[in-house]
Amino acid sequence: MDKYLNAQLQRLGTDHIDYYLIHALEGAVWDSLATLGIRDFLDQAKKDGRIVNAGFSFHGLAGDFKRIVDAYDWVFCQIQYNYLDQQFQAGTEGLEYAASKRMGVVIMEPLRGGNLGLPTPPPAVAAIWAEAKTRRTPVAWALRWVWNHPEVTVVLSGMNEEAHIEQNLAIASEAQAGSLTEEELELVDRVRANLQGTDAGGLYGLRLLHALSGGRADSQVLRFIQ
Amino acid sequence: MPRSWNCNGLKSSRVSKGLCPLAAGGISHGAIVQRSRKWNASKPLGIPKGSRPLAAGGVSWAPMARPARLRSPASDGIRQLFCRNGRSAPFPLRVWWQRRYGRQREAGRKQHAATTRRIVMLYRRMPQNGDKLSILGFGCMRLPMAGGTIDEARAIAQIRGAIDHGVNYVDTAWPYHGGKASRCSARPFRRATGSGSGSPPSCPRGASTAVRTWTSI
Repeated sequence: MDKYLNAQLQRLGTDHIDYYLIHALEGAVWDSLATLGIRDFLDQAKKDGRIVNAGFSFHGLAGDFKRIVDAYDWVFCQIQYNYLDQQFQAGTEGLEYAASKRMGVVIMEPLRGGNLGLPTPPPAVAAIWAEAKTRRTPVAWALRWVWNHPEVTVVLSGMNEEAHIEQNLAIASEAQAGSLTEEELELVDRVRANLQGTDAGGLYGLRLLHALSGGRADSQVLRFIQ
Repeated sequence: MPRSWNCNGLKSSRVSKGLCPLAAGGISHGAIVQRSRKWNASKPLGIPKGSRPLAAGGVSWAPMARPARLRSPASDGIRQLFCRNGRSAPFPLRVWWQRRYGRQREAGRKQHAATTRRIVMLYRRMPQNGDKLSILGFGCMRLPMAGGTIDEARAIAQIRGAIDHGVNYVDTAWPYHGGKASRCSARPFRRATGSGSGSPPSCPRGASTAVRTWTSI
């Protein structure tokens, strides 16, 4: 593990990493890492200053999430969360549990691989969005919904077009915690109900698979997603 | 009537700070005056930014750039006739001017706000260490591609741009883009600091180069 950390530092051209995460944990991975002494490794790396804060990113079940949260003195964690995936992986339960342990929570996949931000949502969904007093794009709704949670610290966006970056920055400018009204939250809830069972989930799975395996179909990754 | 208005009804403090987009275009020739209670007795407050003297020994200051749409020989003539020595116009004329140019100013301000949307990064604190992290982080799992590989120049410019807008959490990992994402996500910081370590100078106090990484066992 030391070897990897040193190689990472070298690649990044730095002598320390401020927020270091153990990547893509789930129950079984954590168990094997724990037996291999990941806790001692993190303690040592923090002690000699190579890392400052330790955290983990998570793609497992909610029960395992709580177990991992309790298993080490984490400063933060990174979980997948969006208005469609409130019960998926760590979910709302995990978010609140981590916050109760004074952990910072970084959110990944706020748009579910981009699918919640498609400029032309299904007609039924577009009709619901059109009812809002404050008109927003689907992207803005999805991101604002995540930022509305005070437990959330950072929301990651896989933005790779200049226009998207600018749009996300503009949305972030107004995204105070608890800034959505009850009516707006209800609207998002209706959209969620409407979207569940459509192919957004399937599409997302394929994209994530593609990204994680670098384009190769990988049975292990596939199993991990399912 | 507040104390510090010039004869166009522009608030002097806003004008002198350059906050009024149309401040330079009023028919008052940009003279900033402070009105005492006795409305006729006004005194110049100072020279607004971007002004130049109108004439040697002149009493008012003309702004450098006056929008042409607010100028006319007639308005200049009226102004010269009624507003001497930096004083405001007599009562009925002043009210008319205020109404007319006040409306224009408001329209200009709205247009200005619409075209220059302000981007302000918000920060939230990490509960345990109090670090202020930008609520928007930059993820490096889906960097821009060109010809089957990362478009490095574009990716670096994007990350750099995001950092300049206040982003201070950049997420990368060993497996992203087949191991090439880390290099890309490190370069913007290197350019910022010159040495490649520590936080970029544009980040607020407590900002961090957040780097997510992967341990493979």
